[in-house]
Amino acid sequence: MASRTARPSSEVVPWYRNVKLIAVFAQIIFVVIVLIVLAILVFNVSRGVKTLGVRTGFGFLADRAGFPLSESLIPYDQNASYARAMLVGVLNTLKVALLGVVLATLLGIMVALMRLSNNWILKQIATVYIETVRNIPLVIQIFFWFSVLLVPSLPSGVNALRFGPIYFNNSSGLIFPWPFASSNFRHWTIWLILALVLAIGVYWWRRRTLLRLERPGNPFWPAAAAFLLVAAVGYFIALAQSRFPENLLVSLDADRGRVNSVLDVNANGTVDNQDTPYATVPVIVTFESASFEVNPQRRTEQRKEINSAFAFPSLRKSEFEEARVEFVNPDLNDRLSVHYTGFPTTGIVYEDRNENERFDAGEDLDESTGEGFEGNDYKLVLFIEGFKRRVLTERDGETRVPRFDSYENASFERLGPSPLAWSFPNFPTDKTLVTGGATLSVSYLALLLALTFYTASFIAEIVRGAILSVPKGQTEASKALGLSNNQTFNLVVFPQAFRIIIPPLISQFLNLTKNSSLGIFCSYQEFFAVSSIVNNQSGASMPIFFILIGGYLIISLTFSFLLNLYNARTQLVER
Amino acid sequence: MRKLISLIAVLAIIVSGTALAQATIEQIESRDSVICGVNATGLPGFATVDESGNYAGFDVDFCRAVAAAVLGDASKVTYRGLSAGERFTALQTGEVDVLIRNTTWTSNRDTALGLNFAPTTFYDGQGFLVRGNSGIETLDDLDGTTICVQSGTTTELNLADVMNANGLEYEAIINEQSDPLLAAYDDGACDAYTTDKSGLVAQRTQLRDPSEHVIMDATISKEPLGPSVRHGDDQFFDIVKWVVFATFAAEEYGITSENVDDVMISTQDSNIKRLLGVEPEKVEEFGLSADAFYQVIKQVGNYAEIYNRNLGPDTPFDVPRGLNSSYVDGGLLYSPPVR
Repeated sequence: MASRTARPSSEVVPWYRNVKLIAVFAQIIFVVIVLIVLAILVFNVSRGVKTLGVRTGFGFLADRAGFPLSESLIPYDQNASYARAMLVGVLNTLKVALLGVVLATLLGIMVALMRLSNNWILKQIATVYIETVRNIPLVIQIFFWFSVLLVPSLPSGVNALRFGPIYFNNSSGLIFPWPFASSNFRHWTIWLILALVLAIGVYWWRRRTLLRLERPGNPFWPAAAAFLLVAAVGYFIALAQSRFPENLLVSLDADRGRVNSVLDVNANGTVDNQDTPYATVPVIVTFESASFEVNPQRRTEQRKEINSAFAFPSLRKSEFEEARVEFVNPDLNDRLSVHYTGFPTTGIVYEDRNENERFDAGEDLDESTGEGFEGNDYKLVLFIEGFKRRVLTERDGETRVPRFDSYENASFERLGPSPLAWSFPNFPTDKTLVTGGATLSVSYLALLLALTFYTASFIAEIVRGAILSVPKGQTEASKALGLSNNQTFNLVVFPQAFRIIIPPLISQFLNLTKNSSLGIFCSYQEFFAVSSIVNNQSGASMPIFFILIGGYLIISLTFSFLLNLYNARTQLVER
Repeated sequence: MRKLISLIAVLAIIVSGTALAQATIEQIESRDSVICGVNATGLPGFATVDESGNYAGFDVDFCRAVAAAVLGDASKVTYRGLSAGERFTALQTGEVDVLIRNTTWTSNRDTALGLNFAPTTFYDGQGFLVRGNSGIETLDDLDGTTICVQSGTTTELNLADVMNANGLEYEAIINEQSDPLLAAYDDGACDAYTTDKSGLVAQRTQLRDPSEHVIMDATISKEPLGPSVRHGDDQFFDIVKWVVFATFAAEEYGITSENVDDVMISTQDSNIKRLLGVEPEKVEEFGLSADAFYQVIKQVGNYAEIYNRNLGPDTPFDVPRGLNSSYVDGGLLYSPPVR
């Protein structure tokens, strides 16, 4: 350096040694190289596409998809377009990513606290969890949850696990009651908006007051209370305002086991082609009596060794005022009797060998050898008197009731048109397809669990690191001020750690979102899986490739933008 | 600076070099191997891998036949296992020379996907596998059931169409791979498993207790399965097409891998002479050596031999020939004349 500055300033530096010029020149060359490579790629692709004669452009998106998708947040069937199928995929990705992010954060914070605790067992559990889960590839974990744990261990079909109105099996997944907006929801909307505005007002007012008074407290709770109060008052007012349309027809389609509700457009009193489906009418269906035939062999899968046992796992006693089981073959009525183990849904058909008119397991039926009565020998007919079931017509104006072979005098009692209605799972007796309620499929659960546990192990370490980075003096100072352990953590340590947590947490959220594309391994129909189906069926690989890149980019950048806004708010303001 | 420029030049040559496509046949000859796309997870009877890594099966034999015709050696095949989702991209991008992976010939694949289909080697139809005690016997019984179906296939499209046409509701459990689906079916996660009937026969043997399961009578679609190549190389398309025809013709004329040498010497039939290259002009018109089809028959066999080896009565599958018989026996296999 010293020698260079010592040179006479009059000496002109040659252009090829001029640092400024070289810098500019190098950048130009770099850009040119990039352009050349891009041009070659584009040329190559367009030539390849021309030779193969495959489809280019985005016109294919409007074509009919033709394939089914097993879960969708928006109405979809095979007659929908490719574009809609891909939208279903995007929504499914968001569905797993948003819940996954919340669960992973909660679990991550919990595990971090466990690992920092003084309790030896908790600490070891957390350490083992983090070190194991963090170091196993995600695909293997998805495979584990789906193919090793959930699908083989859950009961199949109608043998679903049952907790009240909640069912769980390996074909449909977790099925539970779910509220949905009925046709009278609009009366309530205005109250909900009012409640929200009021809640925000209360939040700001409490926040300002607390700051002014310099007192601790959370403005969230008064705001929530205000919201609930207004919403609840509005609900009852909306309920009073609601009326069903005059020309609403409710009818039973017994062959298909469905209740239809339609608006009688031409006012002829019968359902015909001109009538339009009317959504969400809650009704109670009552039959004077109804019957359906049951082949008992089909219901004994769990207890194959006893051919004469029968079970209707999905029927509840409370639904029937009276029920009796009869044999179709009259000859068997003389020989055989029914012993109910759980009236009327489970029981054993027996032959009264010692003629005491009472079931005696030892004598009447040899369970150990499986000597019973073949399902082909007879059929059972379940008569139901006064069958009652509360059902809701769903979005397409129809809902399912159990399919009966015969019934008498079906009647409908319309329930009050509440703004929010509950859809209960309508669990069928012999098939696996469930209608009503909401469903979280096994695929979804497997992917959600895998993503949650995997990402939580990283989040836990981020949180732990952040908490440890708060100087020990802070803790000691707050203890010296007389703050309790909880207060120390909530008011002093965590707020400081929070600022450190947020930036790495954002990348974990993005990771989780992008990792959801591995859902293809557990049959979950997220964005990537649907796109690959569309690719395969339409052959438009290049456009789909760009849609995929663009789609994930938009999702990630939106996520990142929103979280960075939040990050900017939580960071220390430096001047 | 000069280094940089030469680097760019080299880069440009490399990239543009790959951009200028060679004919498929030249690529095969220069690498001395045919790259054949087959079923990745294996479909018993059609493509399976044994413990020592050797491929065998009905589809695999047609890969070998192509290699025998082009390179004179049926063993010069590199197999590339492909899932249903990967197969078309692999063929389009030139990752494989020929796709022989139980692939249905459809108009959409022939046009929009840029494929050329050689003659159908196996006429199939879609069916359903259900549990024997499930009481599901007809298509209508499938109303309200869960059905396992492989994605990216004609199968899922047929299923949707047929169920829709009959007003039947169902839920599809979809996966790109057949193995996890079959496992899910075995675990009771679906009431029915659907694919081509030949596939059902083969995959039933992989279930825990095959005797518990039955294949429904209903056939809901036409599934002509055959080899395909990509658009833009007519010569290679002709070769693959006529390799398949050669196996049909050989069965029709009674030429087998065992008697082909004798037939070649003794025959007076000029049809056979042209096919086997005794009169070489017609085979050489393909750009192949005169003995190309002779090698196919000698090393791989005629259609009947290929069928019986993989799917015939001596195999666990014992699939009846049905439509897959020579036209002289009332089937659909018909070879145009070599002339």
